[in-house]
Amino acid sequence: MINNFARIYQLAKEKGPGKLVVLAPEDREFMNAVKIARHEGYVEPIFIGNLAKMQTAADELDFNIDQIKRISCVDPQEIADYGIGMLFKKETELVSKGQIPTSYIYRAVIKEEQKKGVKNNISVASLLEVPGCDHLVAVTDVGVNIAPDYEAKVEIIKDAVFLMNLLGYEFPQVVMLSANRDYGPTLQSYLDAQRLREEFGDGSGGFEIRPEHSVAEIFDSGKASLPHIFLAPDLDTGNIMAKLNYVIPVKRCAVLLSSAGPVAIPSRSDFTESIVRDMALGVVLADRIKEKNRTE
Amino acid sequence: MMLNYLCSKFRPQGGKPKVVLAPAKDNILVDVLFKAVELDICRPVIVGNSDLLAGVAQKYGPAVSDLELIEQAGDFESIKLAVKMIKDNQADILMQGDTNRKDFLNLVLDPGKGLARKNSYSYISLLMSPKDNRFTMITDTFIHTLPNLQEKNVIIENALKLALLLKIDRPKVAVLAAIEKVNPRISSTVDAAILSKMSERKQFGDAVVEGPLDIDCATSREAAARKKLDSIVPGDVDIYVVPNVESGYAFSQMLAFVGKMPHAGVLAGTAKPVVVNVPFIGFNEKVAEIAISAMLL
Repeated sequence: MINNFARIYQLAKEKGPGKLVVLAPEDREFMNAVKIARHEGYVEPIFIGNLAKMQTAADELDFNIDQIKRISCVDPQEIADYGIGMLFKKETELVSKGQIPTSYIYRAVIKEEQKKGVKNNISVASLLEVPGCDHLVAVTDVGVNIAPDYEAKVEIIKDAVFLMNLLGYEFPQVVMLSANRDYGPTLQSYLDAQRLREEFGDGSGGFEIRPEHSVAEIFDSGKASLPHIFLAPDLDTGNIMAKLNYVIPVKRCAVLLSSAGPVAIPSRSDFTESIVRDMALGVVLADRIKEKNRTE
Repeated sequence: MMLNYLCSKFRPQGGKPKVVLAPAKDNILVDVLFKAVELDICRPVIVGNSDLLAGVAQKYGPAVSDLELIEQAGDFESIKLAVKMIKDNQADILMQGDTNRKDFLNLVLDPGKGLARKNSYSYISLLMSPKDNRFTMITDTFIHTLPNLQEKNVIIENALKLALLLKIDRPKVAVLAAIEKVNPRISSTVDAAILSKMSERKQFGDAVVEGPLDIDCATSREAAARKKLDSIVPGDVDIYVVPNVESGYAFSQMLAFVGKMPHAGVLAGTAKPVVVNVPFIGFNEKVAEIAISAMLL
């Protein structure tokens, strides 16, 4: 079981370099992340984007990119389609977002998934390292589904369970966040949680459902042990849960696990350290997927 | 920490207010009230059954000269009596005792019989950063499930009133949404943009309301700059307005429990202050809630 980010870096180094397509590493933070990830031996990158902008960013960092394959493309949707297409054609092991809005990447992944016909819904999970917690904590969905209905929530949990399985968590615990109060109407998020409990409470989904529905309840139970997965009721909540690293001492990375492999999803506001972590996680996940496919 | 700070900085105007605890039962809330009395924040009025009152008189009678005990059986009747006392100006602040919160709030927030006008109240989680003793508010974390624009307007007004009492100068308000760009498909971003425009037109006075902001932009000036967002609010927020109650719970509880920040709650916008018994609040912070209510008078 991988229980901290130090272990992720170690494994990325051991198993790397993974073949990585970077979508528009056109600013300093993204380019610097590629430079470091390559230097550490995590990745062997291919760039897609505006050649001039990428060159300028690299020059600023004294990063010689002559030996790196670069594909010229300026339209964000074309960049995303091309890179994600390579992932689905197995021409790369993983993809990382650079300086383009994530929605283009989601669109590209959904298009490929529909062609392939395996997955109906995609989601992005954030992985948190929380001080004092002896395992990593996934928060999902933090990217795609604005207000997922019950069926979408089932898909989102499955994605997160698969992610945690790959990281060595065989039977992850899930807390379905809500805000059930003894005031006002019963929340849809609570009703959905009850339905999930009815359907999967027996463990048939490959995960355990915890009784709590909020962080306070977890700490109030005395054990204060965080679950392995937090299911957010909506995108607003997922985002807030996942991105508190500027106010409390948590570290974070994020990934979209497509059926063809991982797509690292740094936020456009993220800095180098965090982007490197996203890439390292992607490398480890790609390796574990390969391993899994080989043994099955 | 929060309590010490409040006691050192703020004193209620005029005489000490009367806090009526109803229904009082033999539990920690009685001790909370008497701690506030000991700190000179308020005068106590206890509504409860005769057995309990005898116990309270025995325990606190010798030390508290202006102790008022009112005998009343039954939770519902006790609350009704306490509300009437407040309406008749026989007491100033209502404190929820050990009783079902739903029944309590339904009675207290009843537009005719209660202590609040319709659509006037909201709930504010108040946290204090251990680093610099700075207050942070997150709202609405209890009353509104999914506030609309009009309700968010009230939520902000209520928070700004509290900010004024806490002597927060030119409060900075972040209206949170999933993304920092206005997306017509995501109503939280649209509402935030309108509130932000209202602020620009000085409809919130001195306060600066900014939105939509996603949480990373709201909490970090550098992150906001990376997203080319030019504003004085990011990284310096006094009041966070959350899009729904679930995100309010998640945000405030992560700060309180993972971030280990002292935290209390305030029902704001009622005609007279009401201290609601919300779970997961520490003893001293419950006392702090009484102190804040006294300030709200």
